[in-house]
Amino acid sequence: MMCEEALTLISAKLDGALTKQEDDALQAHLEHCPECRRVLQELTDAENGIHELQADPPDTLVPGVMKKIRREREKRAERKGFFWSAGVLVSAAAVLAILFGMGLIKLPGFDRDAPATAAIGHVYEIAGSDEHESAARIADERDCAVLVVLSKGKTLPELEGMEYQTMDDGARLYVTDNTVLSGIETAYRGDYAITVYEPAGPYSTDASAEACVLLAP
Amino acid sequence: MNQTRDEEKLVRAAVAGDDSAFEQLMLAHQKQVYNLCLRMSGSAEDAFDLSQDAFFRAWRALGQYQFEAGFSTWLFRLTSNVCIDFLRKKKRESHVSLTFSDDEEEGKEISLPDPDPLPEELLLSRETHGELQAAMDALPVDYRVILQLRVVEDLPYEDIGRILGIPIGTVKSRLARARIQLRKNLLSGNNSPFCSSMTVEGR
Repeated sequence: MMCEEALTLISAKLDGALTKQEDDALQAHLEHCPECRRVLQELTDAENGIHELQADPPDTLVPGVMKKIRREREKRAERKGFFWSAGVLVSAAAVLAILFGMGLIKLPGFDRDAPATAAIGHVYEIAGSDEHESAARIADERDCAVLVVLSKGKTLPELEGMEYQTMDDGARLYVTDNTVLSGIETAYRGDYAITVYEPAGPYSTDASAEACVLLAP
Repeated sequence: MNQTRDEEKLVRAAVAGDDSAFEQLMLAHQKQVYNLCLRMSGSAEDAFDLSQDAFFRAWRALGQYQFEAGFSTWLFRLTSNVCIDFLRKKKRESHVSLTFSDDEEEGKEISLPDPDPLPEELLLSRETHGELQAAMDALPVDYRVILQLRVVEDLPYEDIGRILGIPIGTVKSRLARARIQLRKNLLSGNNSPFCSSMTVEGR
């Protein structure tokens, strides 16, 4: 055996990854090669020493991250509040329009118990909230908008043939661009509940910039 | 008993929004993450920031963890990517070697160590903590990472390959080269951590 081959075996020996045969061959070489014996000894010492280079992380590490997480949760709660109020406004506007059209409206009084539900479902509705926590996460992680569509298991022709990633809850994540995102938003806002999540920081709204579509079951 | 299963439970709870479960995961892994960052950045201050950044990103990306690899493997990969991004940004000012080894091509021969210039008693038995530290810091960053994962974390080749995104053959040859280079650094006495050029390949 040449020293060169021995060096590779010495490395594997330190990892405990030698077969019996390889180990025997290496031993035979080491017996008559003081240089390789020395390499093995020195590396063994060095690796023992490396363990001593390990340091304990400061006590403030984990609490610091927890603080960031709490702040992030607060930001998300604010964002969610915004979507809800936007949804309520749109629904209210639709109800008003219908009542007005039917001649039932009596301004300025507006009865909360009026037969209003007929209109909802044909307007921009709000997709479910907590189960799309992951959408907000993806938006922040990828710095792009994420469109959540509650498609009830149906796929959209716009996404046919595209690669997707299946999330834990069975949702499908498609990575695409803003053109596709706004196309889907426009085409299906009457049929499915749709929500757009935006990252907390700035992100590109260029037509070709990355955007995600999450098809929720 | 079954640490993996307990950990999986914690991860699932964290994905479902249980932040105290995530806190427990951090406490269990903080030493590993911190020391990987320390090895890669060479500075305690940077390692602290990088560890926090890695954990925070892990929290946000938890929904994307698919349980196909162990949680720590996933976390190491994410941490190593956070550190590499950081090193890219910081390359000019850094005081540790940010070079990547350039001898990874398969089939390339491992160069023999220089003939030992020093009497045996001057070698590792007398290495101080500081000299070993300097010899480690002077290694290319991919050598530092792989030694950390293998020697300190005691990870099998397969996991290291997953973390670094390289085949097992490359894991083995890179480890062998890293060790030879470490020994060279220790012997040469030329342990200057002020290393010259940096070429970070896109990977």
